[in-house]
Amino acid sequence: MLQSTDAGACTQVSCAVQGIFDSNEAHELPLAEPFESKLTTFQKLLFLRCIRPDKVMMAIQAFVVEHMGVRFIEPPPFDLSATYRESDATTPLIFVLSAGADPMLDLLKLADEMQFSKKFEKVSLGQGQGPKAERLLREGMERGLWVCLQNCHLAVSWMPAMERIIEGIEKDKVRSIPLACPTPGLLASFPLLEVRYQC
Amino acid sequence: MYPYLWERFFKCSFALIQNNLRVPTQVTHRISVITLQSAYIRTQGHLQGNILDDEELINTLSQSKATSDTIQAKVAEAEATEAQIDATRELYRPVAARASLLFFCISDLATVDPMYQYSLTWFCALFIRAMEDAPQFEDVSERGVALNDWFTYSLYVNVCRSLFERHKLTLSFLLSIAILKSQGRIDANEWRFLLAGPTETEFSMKNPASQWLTEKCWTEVLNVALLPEFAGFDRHFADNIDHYKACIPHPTFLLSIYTHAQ
Repeated sequence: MLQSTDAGACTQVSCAVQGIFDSNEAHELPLAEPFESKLTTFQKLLFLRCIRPDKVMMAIQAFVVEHMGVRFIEPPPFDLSATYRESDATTPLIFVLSAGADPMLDLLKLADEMQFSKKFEKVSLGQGQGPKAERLLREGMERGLWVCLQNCHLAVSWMPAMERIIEGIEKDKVRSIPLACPTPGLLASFPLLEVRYQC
Repeated sequence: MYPYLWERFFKCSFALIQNNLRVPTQVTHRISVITLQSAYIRTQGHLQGNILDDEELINTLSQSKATSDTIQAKVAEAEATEAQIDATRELYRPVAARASLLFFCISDLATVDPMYQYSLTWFCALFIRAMEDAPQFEDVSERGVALNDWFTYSLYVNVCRSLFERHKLTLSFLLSIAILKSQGRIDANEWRFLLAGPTETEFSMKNPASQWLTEKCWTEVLNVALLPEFAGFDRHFADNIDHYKACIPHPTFLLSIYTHAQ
């Protein structure tokens, strides 16, 4: 708690507090004339860059809203069933996950809705799991299963084999979609073809 | 590359509309005319005696003339329709231009993260879907605007799905800048300054508020004043220093108040 018996100091405190309070909305603070009227919203971004770079992101948001509309700063939440509808038998879904994120529950729920609960196979890739995954993928292609490959980042050496299998899928002969769940970090080793379709 | 893409989207967008229009084949008509004219000339070669006595010849000639007239009328009609189609086609140029622009915009995302690569096949499929789903308008120019808005948003939603959260605003910003640049509303030097910052360091004008304005900030102000639209901004900033002070948090000021209170 600030205490002062000097009236001048009180005025100074209120000015300082006022200034600090105003600085939270620095990205909306008008410039002095004539530049306030002269500069476009984009040019005002340059001004903010000069003295308050920390506020540039908020100003960019306001800029996007002004020119494109508010829907361009509100990305819709991830809709797994819509994504599934847009994919096909030769285009796997890839989940690039941040630490802690796990789409398994959503996948199981979708499988249930699509009546694939009993036809959902998953394998957690790791040491020596490559052949098992390969077998499951081939079986999935023949019998019409969903195959989920988890932790692809742990089977970097098996990735080229997976790439060959996926590329070899013949559209007319496959009924379901293989799914793969890698984590970021090791994406450099993930086959390029997969990157065409992502979640 | 750019003109190729543009042509591709142009044909794509127009092909979808053309399903509703029937274009009579002028070529077939022209062949019919030539065939008739050839028949006429061959008939002439067999002339013997008084031409007016040859009933068959006269009948053939009358028939040829009648058919030729009909064909000429149809050709004229077809040419008029084709002109109308060409005029309508032209109105879809902005749609093709916007599609090409957006493709190169999202191609640039690969520099943000190499994971962000999008195939042209996928992009075209998205474009065709947007063409089919976008609201219909009688007026072609209205339809063009509606198509552009619909496709731009559809692209945003679909690409967002494949981006990390922290890159989604980057995408919206890049899209808006790309569109404004195509309209000539963004100066290239200003864009460069926003991204890369100052380039000059030697200036004669001194920092007007060195107690709270850092040298880095002051250098940025001096550099921005070099841009044509910001001419005189350095002098303006110094003259209105109290107004701009409100933008900057000043902890040292607060510290001096604490010291005074004690």
